[in-house]
Amino acid sequence: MGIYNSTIYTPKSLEEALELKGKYLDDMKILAGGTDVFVHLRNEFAHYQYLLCIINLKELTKIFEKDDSVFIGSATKITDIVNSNLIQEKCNIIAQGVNVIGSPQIRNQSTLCGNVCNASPAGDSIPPLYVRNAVVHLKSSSLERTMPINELFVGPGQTTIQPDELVIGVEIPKKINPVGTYLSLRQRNSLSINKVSVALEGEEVNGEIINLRIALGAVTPTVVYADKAEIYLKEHGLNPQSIKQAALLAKEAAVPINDVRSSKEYRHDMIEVLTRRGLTELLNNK
Amino acid sequence: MAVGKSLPRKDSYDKVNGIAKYIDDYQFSGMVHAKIVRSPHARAKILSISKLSSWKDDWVLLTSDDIQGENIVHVILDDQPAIAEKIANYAGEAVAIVVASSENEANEALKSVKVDYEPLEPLLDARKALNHDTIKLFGDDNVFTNHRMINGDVDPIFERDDVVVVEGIYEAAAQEHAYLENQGCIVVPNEFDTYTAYGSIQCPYYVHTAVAKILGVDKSKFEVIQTVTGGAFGGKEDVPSLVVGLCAIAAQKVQKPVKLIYSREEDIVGTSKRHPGYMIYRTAASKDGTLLAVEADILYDSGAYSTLSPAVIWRGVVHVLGPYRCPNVLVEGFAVATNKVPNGAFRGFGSVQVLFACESQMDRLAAKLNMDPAELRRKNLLVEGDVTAFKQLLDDSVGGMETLVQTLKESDWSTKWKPAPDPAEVIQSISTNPIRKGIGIATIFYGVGLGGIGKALSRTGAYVQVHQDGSAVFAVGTVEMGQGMITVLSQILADELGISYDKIRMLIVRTTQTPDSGPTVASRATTFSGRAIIKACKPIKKSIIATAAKMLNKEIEELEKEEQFIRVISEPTVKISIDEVITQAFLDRKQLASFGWDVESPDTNWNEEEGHGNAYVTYAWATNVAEVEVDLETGEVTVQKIYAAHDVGKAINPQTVEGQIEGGTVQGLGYARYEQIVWNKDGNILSNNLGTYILPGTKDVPEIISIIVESNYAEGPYGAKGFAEQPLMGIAPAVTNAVYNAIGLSPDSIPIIPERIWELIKQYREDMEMEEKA
Repeated sequence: MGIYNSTIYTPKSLEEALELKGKYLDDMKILAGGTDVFVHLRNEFAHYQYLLCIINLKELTKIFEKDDSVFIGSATKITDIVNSNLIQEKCNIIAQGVNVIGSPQIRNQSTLCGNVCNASPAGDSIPPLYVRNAVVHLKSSSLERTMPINELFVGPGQTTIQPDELVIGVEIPKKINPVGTYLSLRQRNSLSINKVSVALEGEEVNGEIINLRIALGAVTPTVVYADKAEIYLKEHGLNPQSIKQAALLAKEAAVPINDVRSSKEYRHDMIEVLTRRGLTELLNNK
Repeated sequence: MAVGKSLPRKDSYDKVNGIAKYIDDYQFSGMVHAKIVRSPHARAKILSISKLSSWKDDWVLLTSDDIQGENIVHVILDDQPAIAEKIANYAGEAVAIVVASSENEANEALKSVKVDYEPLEPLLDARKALNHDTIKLFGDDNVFTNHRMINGDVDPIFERDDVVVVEGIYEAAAQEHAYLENQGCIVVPNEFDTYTAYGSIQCPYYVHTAVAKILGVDKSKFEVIQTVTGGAFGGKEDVPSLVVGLCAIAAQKVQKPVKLIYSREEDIVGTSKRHPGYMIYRTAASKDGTLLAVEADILYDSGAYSTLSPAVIWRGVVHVLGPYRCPNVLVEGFAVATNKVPNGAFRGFGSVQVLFACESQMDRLAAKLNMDPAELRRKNLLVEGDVTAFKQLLDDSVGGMETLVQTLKESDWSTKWKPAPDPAEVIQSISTNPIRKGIGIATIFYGVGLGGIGKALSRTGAYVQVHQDGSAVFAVGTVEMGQGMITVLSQILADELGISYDKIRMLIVRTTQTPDSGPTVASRATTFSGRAIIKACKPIKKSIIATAAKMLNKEIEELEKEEQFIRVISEPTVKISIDEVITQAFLDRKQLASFGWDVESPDTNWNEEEGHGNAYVTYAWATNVAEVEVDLETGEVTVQKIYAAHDVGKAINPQTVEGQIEGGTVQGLGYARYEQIVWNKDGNILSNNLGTYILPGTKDVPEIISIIVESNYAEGPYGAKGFAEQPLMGIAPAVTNAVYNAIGLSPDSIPIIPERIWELIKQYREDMEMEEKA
């Protein structure tokens, strides 16, 4: 089995890690929590000659506050993110999303950036990052750059991350008074990949919820914004009538498929249901 | 007394602490590893098998040509080869074996085997396979076995205009056993051309018989040792004969110990499931709700080979009516061949599918009669003195009514139950009222033991030896596989001899040294090995009491047994410890080792022609009530509470009984709500791991209220009868009936995954709209 043939590097510094990544490029896979990578290896979905273990890189395990944003290092465990007061207060939508990933054991081991880099359209961290307009920080030995989360993905499992680059964290812009919700349908209550999900978030200003963003999971090759729904709500405000229409517009953005987890038709309908329920929840909790 | 107490399980400490040795924990000097080359096609001619250039010299490739005995996995009809010869009949069937020095190497070797196939059109739907014009998988009609149940005359009843008739077509999906420990074994060649197999096995004597044939050696030259078995649920009844057979072929060839452990994917793709069932029912009752006639056709998808299907379909036919009186019955059941993995035994053994259908019919009938479904059941439930639909008089341990009464009381049924709403009203009010609550009931029974057609296999033997120090060992041929048998039998032995439970140990099951006790199936181990133990104890008890009489200078009649003592009846303070008595008995050379033999009652029978008989020695009974919440928009059904009352005769260990009830309930919940094998159009299983085959997790488990009912079974040890399969069996209909009660639509197939309920509602809504337009 492939797993036994991989060489694992455990660099002592970010600098060393970047040097190794620059050397081995596509032959080297980043190993953070291993909850996806080891599954790929065990099932022979992929073979990685080299693994770059970043779990001991202290500089990547921090969560810290900046003036306008919150930064989560790429080796930060999901459990630590969920338990962080800073995240719960300033980025609650992110906590909601990552808290339904896998099981307690998997969340103790896995990382948010690993969930992002796995680039599954069903990744539970991704729609919440979309509605926050999160920015991914990438670094190579020679270059440091940032990229809006929605530009990172090309298709299922495919990203624009360069072979010599390492994701060092995500930066999550603060919102004024964010109100949001993450809704997903799953085959069971834990240890399951979502069949369809919707993240919704706006800002409550003077009793109105504005700047609503809506992102859809597992119904397109990459997570997408329901832009038409967002525009509609911008024009009509959030009220029972606009919610119905926005939910229908969100449904239009979905192009789901049949797979072992659910059917195309069901997923399609559920985007409408979840969007309507999510928006209604925001309206009622106002 | 040990019996009736929740004593700690004998095997729990070792299992919890990681001390128990499962098959993959065993190593033997010089051991090599086997892997199986499996057909990727559901049906294909095997043209050639060859080695690629990457093949290494120290690897071994074996095909059916290398089998030294017969290429047959004996179960009932002998139609299954160990290794496919000319045609592979299901995706996952073994076509060759590779052997290498390590598991990794063996996996590499697998990739260096090239098999040329000519794919043939497969039969993947049992309904189409039955009497298929051109594709013949078994005989002329693709039917492995059919059974009938006949009583009275149904036709005149259905023609009467004073009866209420309900019809239904039902479908139940395949279910995977999903035991924690995958299939696995090690076969060790010994001197004198003998072989020993170690493995995770439910029926070691099946393996013994089947694999001796494959090896081509006398049964005396082969033995099977059962290792600690991490769950089976029927999945290790017939399948290990194949698994050990494959491993034995390799061990015989290479003359080294060979280990063969299935991966989870192999286990799901290559081993049995619960038969998918298709059931057509017609039920007639008088206007007061008295059942008058039931007609049913049942068809079970048996997969590529018959394995246990002949027995499974019989049990299905016998249980078609559930636990009710009905004078007119016409039932026919077919086990049909398809190009899927052979389906076999699974907790409930063919009764689960029909009980879902039968109990759904009862609720549809109740709705049509405007009756409370619990009342309909009460009215028709078999009680002592009744005769079953298959003409068996029930004269002992008939606890069905007690389970019904207690469940209704405990669940506060009469307050909670309301007639199902009109589905049109439900759908019209979706936007204001998207979540609906419902309550459902199912009452079932289950034949204990192998019954009229299987009793030839049903014998049990027990060897008991009491040591000088007052401790004892026993050996039986039924196995522990997680159900708690060692514990329960130890409790029985403790009370028979008056010795302490802590001083009793069960020996491992080793087919050359422990008595062939038939298979550990059909909820029979407690009842029948328990009876054998009681018989084995008789001469030892005589030795003990005679020695005590001598020591106390009394007559035997003047003494009685008390826990760990023997005392004088007339002088209760005069007593002597059982340990002292045993030590003396040993010194007096009294018999302290003995053997007991028991056979299942000769009174069971089945008249194949006429379709009735005394099917089973006795029956276990149960009632389940489920409370659910249905999300009308997403189709999600949340099961909130399950009440489960089971008549077990006598709970030898109440906590173990509750463990069975809770475990079975969760497995039943999986069957009802979550679990389904997903095949692609070519007949390959897509849900081949536990990430895609969805079992309920702890967060999906509702509150379970276990209720133990004890209607003493006179023939059973201390009044006990088997019931371990039953906790699973009534859950699906209780849940689907609760859904019916919540939304007014009765599901006709399980599992009720959200997509299915969503579809049911959507379909009804579309029909409504069509009608409105018309």
